[in-house]
Amino acid sequence: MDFKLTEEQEFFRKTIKETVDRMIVPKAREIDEKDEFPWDLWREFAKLGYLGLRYPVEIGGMNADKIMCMIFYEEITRGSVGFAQSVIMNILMGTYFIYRFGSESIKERCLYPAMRGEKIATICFTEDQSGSDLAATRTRVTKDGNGWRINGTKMWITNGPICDFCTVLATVDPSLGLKGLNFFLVEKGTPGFSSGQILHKLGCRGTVTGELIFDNVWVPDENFLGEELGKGVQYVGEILDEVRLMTGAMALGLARAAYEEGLEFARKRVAFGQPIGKFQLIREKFAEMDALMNAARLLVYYGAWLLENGKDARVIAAEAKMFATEVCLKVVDEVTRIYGANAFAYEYNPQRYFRDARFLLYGGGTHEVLKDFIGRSIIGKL
Amino acid sequence: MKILTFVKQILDSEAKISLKEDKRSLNFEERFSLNFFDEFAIEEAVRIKEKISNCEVVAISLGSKKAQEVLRTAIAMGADKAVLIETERYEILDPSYTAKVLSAFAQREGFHMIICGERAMDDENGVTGALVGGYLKIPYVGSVVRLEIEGEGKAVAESEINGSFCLYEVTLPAVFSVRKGINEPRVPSVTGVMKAMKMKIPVLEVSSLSPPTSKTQIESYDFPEKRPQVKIIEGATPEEKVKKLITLLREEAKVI
Amino acid sequence: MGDILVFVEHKDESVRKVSYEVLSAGKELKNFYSSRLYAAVIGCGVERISSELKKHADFILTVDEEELRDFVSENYAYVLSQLVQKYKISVVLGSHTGYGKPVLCTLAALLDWAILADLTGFEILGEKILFKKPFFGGRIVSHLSISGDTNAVLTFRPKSLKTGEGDFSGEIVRERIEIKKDERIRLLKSERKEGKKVDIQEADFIICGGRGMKSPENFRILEEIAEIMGGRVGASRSVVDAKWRDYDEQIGKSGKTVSPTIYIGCGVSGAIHHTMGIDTSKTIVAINIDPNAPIFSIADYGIVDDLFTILPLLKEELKKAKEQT
Repeated sequence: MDFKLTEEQEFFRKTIKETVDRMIVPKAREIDEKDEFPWDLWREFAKLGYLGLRYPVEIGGMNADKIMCMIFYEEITRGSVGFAQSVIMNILMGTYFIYRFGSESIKERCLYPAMRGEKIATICFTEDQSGSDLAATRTRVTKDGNGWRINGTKMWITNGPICDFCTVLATVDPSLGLKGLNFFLVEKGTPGFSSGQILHKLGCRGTVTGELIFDNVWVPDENFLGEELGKGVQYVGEILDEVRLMTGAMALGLARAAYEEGLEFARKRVAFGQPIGKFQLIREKFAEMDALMNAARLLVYYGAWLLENGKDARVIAAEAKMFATEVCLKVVDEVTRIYGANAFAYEYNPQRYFRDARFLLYGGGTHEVLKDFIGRSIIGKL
Repeated sequence: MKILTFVKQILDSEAKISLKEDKRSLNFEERFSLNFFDEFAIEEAVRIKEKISNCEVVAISLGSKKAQEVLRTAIAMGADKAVLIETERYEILDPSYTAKVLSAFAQREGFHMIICGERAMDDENGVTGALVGGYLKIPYVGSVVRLEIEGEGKAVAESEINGSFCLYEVTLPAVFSVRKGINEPRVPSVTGVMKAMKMKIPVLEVSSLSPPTSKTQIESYDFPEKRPQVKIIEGATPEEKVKKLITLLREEAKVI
Repeated sequence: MGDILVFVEHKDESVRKVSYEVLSAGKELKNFYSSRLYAAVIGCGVERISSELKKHADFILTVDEEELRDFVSENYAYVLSQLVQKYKISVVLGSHTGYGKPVLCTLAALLDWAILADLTGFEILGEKILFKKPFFGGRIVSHLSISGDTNAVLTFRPKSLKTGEGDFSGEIVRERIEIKKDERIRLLKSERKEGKKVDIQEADFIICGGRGMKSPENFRILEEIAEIMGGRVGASRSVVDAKWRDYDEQIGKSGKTVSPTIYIGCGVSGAIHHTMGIDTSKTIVAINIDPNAPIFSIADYGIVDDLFTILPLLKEELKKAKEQT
């Protein structure tokens, strides 16, 4: 058993931590308050090259192992959940299927510019009536000449209103359920493709989230992202574990941001003639938070280790996502209590953490769905 | 052109420090960081390298094994090579000891310029650059706010000395210690980070540089005296508060 | 310990206050060791300065040469080394300032002496002297000693030593030293920043602005108050990073360490990086709208109120107080 990061991973953590402290932390509050996509920060950050984190060095990526990916997701989220969400979309879900199935010309047009931050990527799963339940997808795709025609509306799309291209999940026949699902690439400027309502979110502000409308959009055969029809869900399975672990790592990062601020406050804030950190009930909060965060960290990084070593990570990844995000909620809640009434003021950060933490509950499967999956996996077919 | 840059790993300003019982040594939390001013030194060296052809930047650190981290940061920022002169552990060293070891290394390695930060935030001496210049018998300019290479082995350095800006023309080789404001240190890019992660950093034993014996010793440590509790000045109006403050400054603190 | 030499700094044809501080330390050491105290005044046209020092040292060694008009630390160090040899000096004292530091370091290297830098005091314990020096931004104070008979160069942090009354009747000695000007370094030009008479590290009064000042224009009133009090305006790191103020005004760990008699922080939150640079000030006043600002944990007096209401009132009251004295 070895829980140590390698010297390289350790260096990577330190570097990305310092980068986040310098570039993102000072802007986090403004990003949240303005709730606009921070274009300047995006360009500045993209220049560093982290958007190619997961992809091979040969195409300009960093070829990071799964542990390093988690380190990255955790640290950047510690800086700003809103900014992290946009960045990670370009790194992972927004580009994965293009990297996996795109032709060289598609990669030239979409993947490489996205790795450089010149284009903004997204993925479209969710609809008005479907979230965790992918089988309920209503966006329809039909064969039309040497291409495909897409009709439908997607909701809750991260980066949606500003994206340059998106990977859309659509069904060839709703009656086929999960077996009818496939991915298609749709680029900005394609007739019939437009952005609709922009959502005003409680947290994770600064990421533009909204509706994308596909009104009789036609794309050529090349834009079908897959080897054969009907395997969309199977392809999702290739990164589902990483996505869940990533959400867990984001939760860890946010929990740490809140925890560190709470710790500083507990050390400095004086009540009844002494720093509040001297009171047992405050200490108890830190004992609880620290234990929970350590447990969550072990789960997330264990999951990443499983993935990196090609082992089955399905249950652990689901557990990590569920547990870490719940821990994050608990931590931000405790920190707001430590902060007292100040936590209720927009002048301080805890309220932001409190709002942001809710956001992490939904992506990668609701906890109700995850628990059912975990339980089913453990008990087995009866 | 060969530029050496001295970088130091110091105890992080937020690391917890306590005194051992005999007060002769310290316990500290193992949290370290690159000395703030050294980032400007690395950045300046790398900027010079980017401006002129055929230039090599070598980062050197005298420190424990862990100090490799700051050397990797230097590589990530654009230094070509790094060397660790390894000490047993992290500790505050005698200033002339440090400067002599670094001078011995510099002499052996060869160089045209040495660029270092104007002071380390742990020992707060700010003397290494000047001492190295002295030991190596080459010119030294401190508190450099602007540094430019002129042709034929010359540099022009602007230095801030007690509120005056002095412009010096210096024949190389020479030592420069730089202060904040000389540049905006870059955030390392992925290319640099990857290079730094892979780099094998050579380690030198201090003993190979015939270190001198320290002429000064740390006899004991203490915490500074605590300041008394703050008096928050209450008053019904701002006028009242300010008047009370002035009275306190005059009659209690006796400072006006 | 043998005879003592103090490197005297001067500006605008008078001795800098920091040098009186060091001279009084020199006097204390001299009395203990029954040795002689020398003051070295080096430069061009410095004769008048030397006469200022008669009460502060046994001998005032004056080196007045055209070659020393420009400040080149190598040349100054060379002159000092000649004096050290001629007068068999065993300890050289000076200030840890922009002038003192390079000269004294170069001297220490030239003579191969020990050096202790940025000291804030000393204590004589029997045969031993313990020198006080802060580490880690003042979080720890250390007590240092010098081995046996080792000769040493010592630099002291400005404003950390008390200045005493001089009671010497010193003798001015003119020294002619042939200066081998170091040709490898040449001063091309020197420019003084206008209107800033007192060096921030020497100022008795500092009024420091932080983010709470809201805009660079609002520093105007701090300038006015500093002028009334004959002090300086300081700035917190965030204000300097935002380019509202120049770096030479930055106080704190990555800026300057100051110890004025009165420090007033206005809208300065008081992050540890800042407080490290002010915690040796005599009296610290904090004005901040936020009662939880950490600056209040280090301040002697605090006003929790709106800066922009308090500052004009403070200006008037300080003006009145100043007029009375």
